[in-house]
Amino acid sequence: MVIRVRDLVKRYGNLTALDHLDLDVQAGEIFGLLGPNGSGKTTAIHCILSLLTFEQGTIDVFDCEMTPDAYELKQNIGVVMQNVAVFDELTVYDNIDYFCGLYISDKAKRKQLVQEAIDLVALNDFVKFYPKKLSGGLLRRLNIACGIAHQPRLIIMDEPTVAVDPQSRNNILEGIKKLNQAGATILYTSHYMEEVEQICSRIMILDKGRVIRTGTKEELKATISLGEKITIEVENLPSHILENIKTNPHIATFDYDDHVLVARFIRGENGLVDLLELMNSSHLQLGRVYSELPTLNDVFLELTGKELRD
Amino acid sequence: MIAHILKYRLKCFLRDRQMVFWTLLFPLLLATLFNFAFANLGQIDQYVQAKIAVVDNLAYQQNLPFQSVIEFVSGTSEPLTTKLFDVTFTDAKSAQTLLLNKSIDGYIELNPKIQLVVYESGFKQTIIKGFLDDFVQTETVLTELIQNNPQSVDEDMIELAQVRRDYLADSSSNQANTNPAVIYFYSLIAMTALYGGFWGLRVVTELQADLSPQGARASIAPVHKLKRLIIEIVAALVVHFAIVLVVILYMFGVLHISFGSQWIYVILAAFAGSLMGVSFGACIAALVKKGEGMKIGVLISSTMIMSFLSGMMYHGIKYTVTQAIPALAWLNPANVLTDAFYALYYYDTYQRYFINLSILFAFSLIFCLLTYVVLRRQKYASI
Repeated sequence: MVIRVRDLVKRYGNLTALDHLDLDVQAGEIFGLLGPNGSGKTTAIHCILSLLTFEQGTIDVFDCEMTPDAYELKQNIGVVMQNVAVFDELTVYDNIDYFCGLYISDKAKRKQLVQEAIDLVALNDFVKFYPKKLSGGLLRRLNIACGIAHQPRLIIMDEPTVAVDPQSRNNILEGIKKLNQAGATILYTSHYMEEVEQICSRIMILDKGRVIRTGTKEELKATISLGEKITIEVENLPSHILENIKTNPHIATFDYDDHVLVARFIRGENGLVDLLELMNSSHLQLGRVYSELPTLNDVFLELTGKELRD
Repeated sequence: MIAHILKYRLKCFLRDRQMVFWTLLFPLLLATLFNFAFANLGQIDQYVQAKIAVVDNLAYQQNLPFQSVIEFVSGTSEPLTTKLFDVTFTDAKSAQTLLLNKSIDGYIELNPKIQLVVYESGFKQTIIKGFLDDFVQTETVLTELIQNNPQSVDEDMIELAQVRRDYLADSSSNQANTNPAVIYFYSLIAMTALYGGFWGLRVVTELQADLSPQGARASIAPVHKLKRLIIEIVAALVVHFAIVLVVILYMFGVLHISFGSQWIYVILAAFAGSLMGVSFGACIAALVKKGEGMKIGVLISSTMIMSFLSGMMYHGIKYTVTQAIPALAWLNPANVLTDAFYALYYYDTYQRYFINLSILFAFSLIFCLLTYVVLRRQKYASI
C-alpha cells in the first residue's frame, strides 16, 4: 500500500474538516479525491504530508508512519500544491533545477531529470522565461514540473488545473497519465468530475469531510438508480406525447422546456429507440438528439442532494 | 546540497528589485540627502569673522596701543578668511548708517573710553565685546603696573601681559576631523543594517508552510528545516553585508564621511550590524503571528523607532537617551551599532567598540535562537 489512512479526524475549531477518513492508495494507480470546495480534499493531503496536526488517526506512506522528519519517505514523494509555489526571481529552468536539487544531488542526473520534466509539461520554449512572464496555464505547468522533476514514486497533486485554459489542462492531464505509465502512483484531487473520470482508476467522493463513496467510476455510477439521459430538440411537443412519456415506466424523470425535451431513464434501460419511434409516429420535426450516460456529478447529486460545484 | 541552495537563494535575493531598492538604493538616497542637509553642520565651530567699523576720531588717533591691536587683528598680512575682524574706518555718522543697514555687526568709538555700539545681540557681537574686554583688561593691568611700580616693568613683562596662551586644546586622538554630522550617517548605517530584517523576514516566510506556498514546498522536501534555515540566513547575510559595505563605501568615497582609520574594525562592525539586522527580521517574522503585511509593518516601525533613538533624525536624541535611560540605549541595536562606529571615530582605544560589538553579536544570537524555537515546530494547526 502506498498510502494508508485510518480513522483520520481533523478539526478547525468547531468545524470537522475530516470525519473519520479511511483511505487506501495502491501502487500504480491514479487515485482521485473528488469533492466540492471545502469537502476536505486539501486538508486530507496536508495531513498525509504531515504538514497539519490532526486530532485522531494514523497515516502510513510506503508502509511507514509519516512524520515531519521522515526524510527518506519524503525523498520518494512529489507534491504539486494548489497554489503555485515558485520563485519569481528564477527562470523556468532555474526553478525546476532548484526544487529538483532538494532531492537529487548528482548534477548530471539532475540535468537529465530537469530536461525530462520540461519535456513532460512542454515548457521547452519558455525555459529562460521568468514566472511573471508566463500565462496562468504555463505557470501551472511550471508548478507541476517543480513538483515532479525528481521523478518520485508517489505524486500528490492538489487541484493542479485550477484556472487553467483547456489546452493547458489537456496537456497537464496527458502529462499525469505519462507519469503514471512511467510507474508513479498518483493521488489526485479535483472538483472537476470530467478530469477525475478521464484519468483516475479509482475515485473517492468526499463531502463535508466524510467519505461518500469509493470505487472505480463504473462502480460509482452503478450505485445510483439513474441511467441514460436523452435530450431531444423538438418544437411544439403534443400533449399526448408528453402524457405517453409521463406514463413510460422506464423514464425516471423528464422535463420539456424551451423546445428541449430531457428524459432520464432508470438504470439499465435504454429508451432511445422507443422515444424516437414515439416522435416519428406524430411526424414531428426533430432537431439535435443526443444521449449521455450518468456522470460522477449525477452520482454526487443522488448521494448528497446537491451538485458537485455547489 | 548546501552549495545548491546557497547559489539559488543568492540568485533570488540579488534579483529581488524591490528589496534591493529598500535595502541599498534607499539608504544611498538618504545618505545623499543627509549630505546636502548637514553640509554646514560640521563647520559650526570654524572661524567666524565679524564686520566692524572704527570711528576714526581724535581719541582713536591718540590711542596708539588700540590702533596697533586693531591693525593686528585686521592686518593685511593675514588672509581674509583668518582675520578676526573685517574693519572699516569711518566717521561716527557713517558708522551708525552702516550699523542700521546691517552692513556691520557693530562699531567701536573711542570717546576717549572705548565704546561698542551694536544694533542686536548675537554671536559676532559677543566676539567683538570679548575682544574689547580683553584689550581693556590688559591695558588696565599694564597702566596700573607702570603707575604703581614702574621699576618692575620691563619689556619681557609687557610681552608676557600681551600673550594669551591656551592650556587646553581640542584634539582628536585618531586624527579624525570631528564633526557632529557623522552621527546622522552612522545611525543611517544602523538603519541600513536593520533593513537586513527584510531579508530575514523573507527567509522565514519562505520556510514556513503556513506563510507561503514556497514554505509548504520547503516543508515537504527531504531537507532538515534547521539546515535550510542556516543556509538561507547565510545567503541573506552575504547579500546584506555587501549592501552595508556599499553604503559605507559610498559615504566614505563619495560623501567623504570619516570612519576613522581602522577599516578592519569598520568592516567588522558592518558585519555585526548585518547579522543583527537579518536575524532581527527573521525573529520578527517568526514571532509575529499575523500576516506578512503586519510583519513588515512591525519591522519597519521598530526599525524607524530604533534609528530615531540612535540619532538619525536628530543627533541630540542619542545623547539624551543615553543620559536619561541608559538601559534603553543599550537595548537598542541601532544605537549600539551607531555607537560602535562613533567609538571608532572618536576614541583611540577599542574597549567601547568591542563592548558594542559583543552586544550586537549577543542580540544576533538571541534573535536566531528565538527564531529557531518558533520554527522548529514542524506541523501546523492550519495552513
